[in-house]
Amino acid sequence: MPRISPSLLRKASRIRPRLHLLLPECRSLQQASLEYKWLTEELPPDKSILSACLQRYNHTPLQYILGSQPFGPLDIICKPGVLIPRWETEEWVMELITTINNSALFNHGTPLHICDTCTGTGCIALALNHGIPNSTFTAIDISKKAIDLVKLNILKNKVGKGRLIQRNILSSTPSNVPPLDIDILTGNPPYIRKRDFNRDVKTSVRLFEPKLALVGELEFYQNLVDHWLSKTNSFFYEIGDTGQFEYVENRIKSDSKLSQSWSIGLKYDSNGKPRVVYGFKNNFKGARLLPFFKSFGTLKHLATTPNKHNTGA
Amino acid sequence: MWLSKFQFPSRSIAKGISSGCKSPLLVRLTSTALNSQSNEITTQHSELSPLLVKQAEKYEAELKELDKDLSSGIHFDVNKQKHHAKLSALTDAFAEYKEKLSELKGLKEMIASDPSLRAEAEQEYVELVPKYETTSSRLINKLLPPHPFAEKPSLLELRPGVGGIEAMIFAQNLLDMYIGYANNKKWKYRIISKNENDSGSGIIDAILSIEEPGSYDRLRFEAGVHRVQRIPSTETKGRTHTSTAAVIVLPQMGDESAKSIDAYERTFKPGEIRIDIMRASGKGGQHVNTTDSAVRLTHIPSGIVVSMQDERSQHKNKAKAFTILRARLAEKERLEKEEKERNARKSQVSSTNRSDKIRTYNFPQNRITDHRCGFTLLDLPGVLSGERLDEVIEAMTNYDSTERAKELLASN
Repeated sequence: MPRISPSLLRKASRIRPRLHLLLPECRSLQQASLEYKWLTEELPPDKSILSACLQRYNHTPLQYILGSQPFGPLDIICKPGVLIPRWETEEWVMELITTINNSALFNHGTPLHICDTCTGTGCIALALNHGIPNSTFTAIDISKKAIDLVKLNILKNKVGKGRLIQRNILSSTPSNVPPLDIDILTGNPPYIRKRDFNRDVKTSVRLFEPKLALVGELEFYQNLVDHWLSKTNSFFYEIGDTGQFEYVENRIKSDSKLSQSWSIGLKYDSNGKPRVVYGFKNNFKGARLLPFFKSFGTLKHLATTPNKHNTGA
Repeated sequence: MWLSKFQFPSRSIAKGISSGCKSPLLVRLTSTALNSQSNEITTQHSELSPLLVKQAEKYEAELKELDKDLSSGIHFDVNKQKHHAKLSALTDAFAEYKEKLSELKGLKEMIASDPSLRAEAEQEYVELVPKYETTSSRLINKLLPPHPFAEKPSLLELRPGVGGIEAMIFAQNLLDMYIGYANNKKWKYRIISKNENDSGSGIIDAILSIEEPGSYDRLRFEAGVHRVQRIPSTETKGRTHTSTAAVIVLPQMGDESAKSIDAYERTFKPGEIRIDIMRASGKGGQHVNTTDSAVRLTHIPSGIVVSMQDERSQHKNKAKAFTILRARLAEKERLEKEEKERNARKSQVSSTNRSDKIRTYNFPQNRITDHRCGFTLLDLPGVLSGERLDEVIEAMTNYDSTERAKELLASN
């Protein structure tokens, strides 16, 4: 990344003392001024502006300084040790809510159960539960810090109580552990490849956000296909590159049983990056959702056998 | 303290009339009946133009029809009920007008015919005239069609024009004036976005949302170029500078709560709106933790572009941008419709909405002049604090009623 020119730094400090401290993270005067405004408006009373600006200069994420990040209509509490919600996640989650609420399932008032793996702050589970009437949720994370934070976020955002489970989904044998009957399975698992970590990850993320929530290869996508597909009607997993989508697609296509019952799609974010791998089971609920997801992303594979429930109905 | 260039025939007529009335209108729209006057007391009143009277009679007849329906037990839906209420109010005003008018006529006759009662009658006449004026201006106001967005809350957009930093400072002054005005009226307001210039002394742009329903009707004449003449604080040689700032007033079409944003998006056809999120290159997602939440909407058919970045929440920025886009589109459509109607009539009415340089704020003379209606007020601090802005707006509202009444007559 190009360094900030001394003249820009001088210009910033002339406008407002300390403003130049924000430049390394913000990169532009305009963004630095905006952040300065947010700092003055939202800083917890026990912190000084100067210390906050110095923290910013040392690449501390703004969300850890202010203690929160907006996520759709919710205000999510953020603490060190738990991944900060990203706008990309917010974007697809909001679209998912709209799509589901437009679908026939909503009109029929069918209760939906949401399960969110690698939940972190709980932002996905809470936003879905908040946005979809008649829904319940389970949120799972390996980290105690994360589960404690989800509890705080449930209280803060006054969403309905969900079930919180602290568990390593990779090591526990999930075949007989609840939840068993999921309508919407979501997850934002660690997806930054180890080899990319030092090259592609921004300083602020590398230094301050938990590696546990960031670095992963394909293990969570493998876990998705191996253990979760049998328990859910649909899934939405965030991805970092097309490799992770292709893995899920190939696993399902190459399995004769799975390829018959699952349709797979890929969604890009508005920055043009592959962001979500999603799928529907060809059963009653999954098939009813399918038509509404035409505009959600691009369907890459259609279940090969027609839906028995539809032909029967 | 203040000097009026306003078209009041005399200060005394204006005195008796409560705020909100349209007394100059009367003078223009009515034929003045002058009484034979033998001594110093003038006995004079003006009658409504016959065309407007005819219009009122038409509404009266319509009300009678509706009343007949009502008594015969036909069910009224909400719209019909509203229409009925409107007609009743109008007819009441008309009846009151006619009553006052006949009283005045009676008194006039008395003055002419009965010398013994003359002094008393004249006294009564003079007392009655202001009441009569109030009644008839209320009637005229009811006869004029309301503005299509009269009931809407408003959005005010301010931008500096020519004059560099001084123009930015002036734009800030105007923003403070509207905030002061809203405070005075106890209206809820919110600064939706505000970009200060680097020195922090003025604004590059600002959008003020005034959430009071009907505030659009009150503030819509503020739209246009405002001019300031003063010695700027930056000027070293003591010269007076002239700078400008532009004010755009838009009706707010609906609430912009996070819940309704989906509804907003869906009111547009697919492909009509392009949403750009200003993002740097890179892998995104977990790799980056940006605080840049700027959103830019482009309405492709009209080319309108709205950018919003003030909130930390991208979701809220998007909602705000949609609010502003909808307001701009509604205003654009209204102007186009108005233009069409005007062309259809081929009348040469000058538009009050688009005329440039609508008002001057002259500091050396402590003077404010609205160039459209010619109203002048000599209390600049009072206006800029928002306290006496109402007087300027009132003058402009009156002027506009006159103009609209003229159009109404022309279309009749």
